Amino acid sequence: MLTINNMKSVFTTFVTLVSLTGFVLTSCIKEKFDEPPVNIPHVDFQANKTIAELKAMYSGGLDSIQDTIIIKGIVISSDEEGNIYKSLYIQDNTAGILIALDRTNLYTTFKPGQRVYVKCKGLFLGNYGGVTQLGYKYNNSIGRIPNAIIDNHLFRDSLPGAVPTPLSREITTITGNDIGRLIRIDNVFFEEVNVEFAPQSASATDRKLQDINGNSIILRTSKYATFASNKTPKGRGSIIAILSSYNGTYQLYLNSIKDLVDWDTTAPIPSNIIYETFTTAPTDWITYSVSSNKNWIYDATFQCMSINGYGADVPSHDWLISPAINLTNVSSPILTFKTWTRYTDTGTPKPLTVWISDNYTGTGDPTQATWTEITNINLSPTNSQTWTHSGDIDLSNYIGKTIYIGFKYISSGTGSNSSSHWEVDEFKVKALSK
Amino acid sequence: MRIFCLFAFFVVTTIAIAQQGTIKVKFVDKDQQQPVINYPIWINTQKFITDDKGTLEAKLPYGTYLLIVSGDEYETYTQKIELHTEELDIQTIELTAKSFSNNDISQMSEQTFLSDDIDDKQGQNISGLLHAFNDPFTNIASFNLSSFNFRSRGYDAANFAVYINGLPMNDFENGRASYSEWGGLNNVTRNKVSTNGIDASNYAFGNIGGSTNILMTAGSIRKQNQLSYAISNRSYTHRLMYTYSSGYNEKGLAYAFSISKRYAERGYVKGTWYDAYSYFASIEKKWNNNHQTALTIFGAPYKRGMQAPATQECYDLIGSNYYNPNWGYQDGIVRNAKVRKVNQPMIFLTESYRLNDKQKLNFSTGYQFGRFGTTSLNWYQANDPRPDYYRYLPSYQTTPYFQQITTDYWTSSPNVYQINWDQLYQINYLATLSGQSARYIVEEQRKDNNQWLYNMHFTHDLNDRTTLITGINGSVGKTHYFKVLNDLLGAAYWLDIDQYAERDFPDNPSMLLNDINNPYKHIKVGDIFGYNYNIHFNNHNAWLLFQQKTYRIDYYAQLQASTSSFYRKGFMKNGRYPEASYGKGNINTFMHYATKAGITYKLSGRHIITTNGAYITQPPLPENAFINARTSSRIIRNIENETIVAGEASYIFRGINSVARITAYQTYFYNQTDIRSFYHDQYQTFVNILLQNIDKVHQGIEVGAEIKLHSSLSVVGAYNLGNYRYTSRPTATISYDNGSKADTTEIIYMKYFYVPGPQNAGSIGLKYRHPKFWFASIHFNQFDKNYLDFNPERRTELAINNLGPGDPLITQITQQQKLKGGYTVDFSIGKSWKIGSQYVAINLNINNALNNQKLITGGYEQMRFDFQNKNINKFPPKYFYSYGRTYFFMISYRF
Repeated sequence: MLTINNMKSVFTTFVTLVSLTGFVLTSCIKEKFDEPPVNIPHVDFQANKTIAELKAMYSGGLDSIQDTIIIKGIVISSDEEGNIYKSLYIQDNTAGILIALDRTNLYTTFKPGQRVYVKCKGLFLGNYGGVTQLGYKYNNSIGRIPNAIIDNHLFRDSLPGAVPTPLSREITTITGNDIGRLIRIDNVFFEEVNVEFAPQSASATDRKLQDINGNSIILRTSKYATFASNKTPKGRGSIIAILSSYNGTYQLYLNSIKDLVDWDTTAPIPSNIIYETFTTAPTDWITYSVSSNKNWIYDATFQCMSINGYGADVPSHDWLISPAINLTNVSSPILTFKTWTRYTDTGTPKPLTVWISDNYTGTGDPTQATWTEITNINLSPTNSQTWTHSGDIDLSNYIGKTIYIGFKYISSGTGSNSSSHWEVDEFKVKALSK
Repeated sequence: MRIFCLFAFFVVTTIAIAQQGTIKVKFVDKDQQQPVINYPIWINTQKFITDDKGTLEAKLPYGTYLLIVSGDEYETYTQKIELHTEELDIQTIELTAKSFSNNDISQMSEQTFLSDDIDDKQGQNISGLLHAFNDPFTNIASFNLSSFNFRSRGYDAANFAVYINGLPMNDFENGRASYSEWGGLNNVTRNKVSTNGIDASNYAFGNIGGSTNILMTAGSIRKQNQLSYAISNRSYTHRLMYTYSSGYNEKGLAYAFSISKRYAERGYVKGTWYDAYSYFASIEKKWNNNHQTALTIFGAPYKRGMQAPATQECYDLIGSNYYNPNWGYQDGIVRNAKVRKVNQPMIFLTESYRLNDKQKLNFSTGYQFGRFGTTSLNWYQANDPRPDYYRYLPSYQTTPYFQQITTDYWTSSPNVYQINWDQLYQINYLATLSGQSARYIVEEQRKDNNQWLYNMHFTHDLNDRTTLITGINGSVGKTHYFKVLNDLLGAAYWLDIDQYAERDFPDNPSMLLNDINNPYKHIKVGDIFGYNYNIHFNNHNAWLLFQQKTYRIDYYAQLQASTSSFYRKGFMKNGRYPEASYGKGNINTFMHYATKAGITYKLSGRHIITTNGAYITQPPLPENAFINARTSSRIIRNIENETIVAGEASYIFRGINSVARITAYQTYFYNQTDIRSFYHDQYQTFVNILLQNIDKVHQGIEVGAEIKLHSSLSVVGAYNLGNYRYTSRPTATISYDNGSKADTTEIIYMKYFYVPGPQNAGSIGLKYRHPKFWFASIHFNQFDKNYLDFNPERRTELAINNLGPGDPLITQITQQQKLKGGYTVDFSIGKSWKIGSQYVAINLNINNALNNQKLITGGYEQMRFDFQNKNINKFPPKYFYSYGRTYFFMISYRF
């Protein structure tokens, strides 16, 4: 199509096109990049102290590490879910320690299970809330290791391995040496279920975990945790968490919501079938005076139920009866309450007795029903004026039934030494329920 | 209605009684002895275009005239003409083709602008580039002042209209024409018709900044067979270009084609690279003297590694104002994270009919399609991979000691102050080991345009002095916006969820999904994710130009009525806006109008006074109309047209040895809309600041002159004295993408703030042209009164609350930053040789010869502000700097 007149021009055009094509083909920007080789980190030096030895060196205050100390440990923390922040916990067979680092998203390189060597020279040991941590000097107290020098002190060795098996502990068997390590506690439950782990109104929130024996430990959660708005589960299960402590109180920190393991939301947990503290006058309790013009009354000052036969017309026989207590679908029901007494009724060895009935109608004269006395309870000693805990009263025999608890007061007379003053409070029946 | 009255007034009152004569002149190419066709020629201030025989016929009143040839392809030529007879045949004028590219504006356009690398609006600069014509001011402004980011009259690029054979090339969504769509096709885009400022425009309505119509068909391209090679140290290092144009043969056929390659392994700024091709092919058939048809296709596919601006802190730490945070080493090789990959070819057909001596019809229609993509890093629950993230810098540290160790660390290795690709791969590898999705990826953000364009205009010479032109033009199309996964960086997959929403709405798992219809999809390379929607648009304009030229007075009036509409169609159901994201959104339709008119009064052939005015309404640009089109089709409230009122008055002097112009201009913009989006890392979301009711005034004086001191030596000079100010207190709606905070409304106290960009700028130069085919020139360029683009949120009551009256912080927070002015010196030199019928030419341009690397030409305040501590240095501004000394050396060969 070109209007080219002579061979010379054709040749020139040809050369032009060939050279252009050559230039075009030979100069291309490389856009497909090779994947860099996988970097398997390797440390060519040795640790010379255990974590326990390092922690033992701490002498209080802000402690500068001047010697060439190298520790090694396995990472047990993860900031992926935001509950752990700018902190790395590592542990070895002797102990665990918190390393405070001014860097976020540590989990992307320091994954749980990663072996880490720490060159401690130039770093600082300090104390926060009674816990020894490794960090850096900031305003003359312990702070985080600046991002700029982290890579001079922390060294990864090999790819991440298995996360160490958490130490198996009971709430009661935890010791200070477990701080900074991953522990596992089985068969615990949340005291408050179906509440947020960490509402946004506070920077962090404590929730209590209890064992079946009533021992409890704090689980502390940051509002920045991705699971902060999750609700505490029902039932019982196990928790794997990092143990810390603040001013002598143990605290657990979850790496992940997934570390609530083997959680059986249908497992029964103790709950109160009734818990009456008499902060206001009760409306569903029954008072019945068999004799005398005195009776059980509500004491608004001390917020309890009270009776005193002194000054009555005749010796007293008066009942205080709980509302109906339904023991169907529960296990291990336990009754507890507190009593208080003053003055001595020399004519009556047991002015107050506690009874159970499963056929009281819920109204009227209790003597028409069948009552079984509860023995083996601690009542306030005569004239002790001491609030006395009843001790756990096993109600297992009444499972499946609806019962009433009756407090029967009697006096031998109406004057001093023939009548006494009794008070009842903190009446509670708890049981395991689903 | 008023305009029509004006028309009537002029028609009735203009009684041309002066005797008239016809000037006939034919132009031929001196080397080729071929007619110079479709080429602009001035007689005094009137512009004529040579016809397809290279001739020009002009009927003019008796008098003394100056004939001027000044365009991109031929050396300037002037001749004095005395018209005292009925017919004056000047015979043939031979024009010498330019052998040097010293005024090759389009070459500059693809070379000097580092701001072209900047993604956002602030960095855009193409204005004036295409406006080289017979005006010293415009030539200098577009050539010597462009590296200062100088924009004629301070206008946005959207105020300059660009057409290719009448087809509107300004993007419907952002209003701007992108010269890179025809970059590298310098030799076939030289033939163009331009107007500066407000002027009659006889192919379309144009805009207040001026308009340019590039004539890109085979028949309008000068006959040539040219090969050139250029070497430079600007955005590219090598350029090879070959152009062939046949001219018309006996059968009335003309062919032209051009191909070029521009290439740089490394541009002026480290980490940038350039890999561009361009191609052009056109065939034109002259069926007879009255009808011709042309079919043209062109494209300029390119890929380039881009530059990003940084804060002065980074520049100082690195010791270079050309620090580029976009790149890093991957296994020892430089890799740029921001790569722009564009291929938007266009094909168009033009038809011209001459119905009779008085009536012409031009018709063009074109189709443009292709891809426009920019890659960038994205990350999920991992640290920001950008090395200049503010928390990594010494200024984020609170004590001098920490600042010192952070300084030492940051400057210690390119692994810290550039992107550490190996580390990104390592982190992804560890994520894959633990079964997780990618922590880092490279994604490509695409906006693929697809549009049909048309132009038809009918020219009717009512009589020798009066012309009526009417036309329609417009575009119908869609732009497909989506993200596609470009590189998993060694990871197994990417999870398509919005991590910003993840924290805020843990109870509502669908909230974090970008596409509820494809929840938790595992995204692989090539998959679309994040957002996916079309913006459909159409724009149709009908216009009318009435023009009359008399002995003393020329005048015109031009009117346009337009309709524009656009809507969004979403392909993803976004979890944050499930009701407003999927499917077709509301159609937004606008009717708008534009008028302009002007009078030229000729005191004599040499002294001319001209004045022009324009009144334009136009709808907000779609890019400023959606609150955030990525997530929903929600539109800003009270969306309505903006208004422009503009006026200018000029005095023009045209002597035999000198040309000068002085213009005063004043332009008001009312009710403009602007939107800015930025990532707020505290709320972990994108924040959109929507500004409405922005008013501006642009006023100033332009002076330009060219004076011939000697037959081969001339002095040229130009200066713009501007005052561009905001004149309202706009309302800002601040909207959080993830809905984590309710929308708030603020008044922005920015009245009388300066519009960013140099307002005063000028240049003076000497040009020497030796008769033996060599030339040299030197220019001294200066700019000043440049103000930084600002963050509206810093100019609110909220920003200065709790500060007592007189607190010095108030001034620091609210004051607009004035940038330093500066100057540069440019040289160029060239020579050409004629060898038989062939030509060889070389030329060398040296820009910024004094190597001043401290010229801030623009930048912006970061959109974040530290409301708590009111520390303005927490998020300092980012600047971009003009290149230091650069060269451009070219050798070209014509055969």
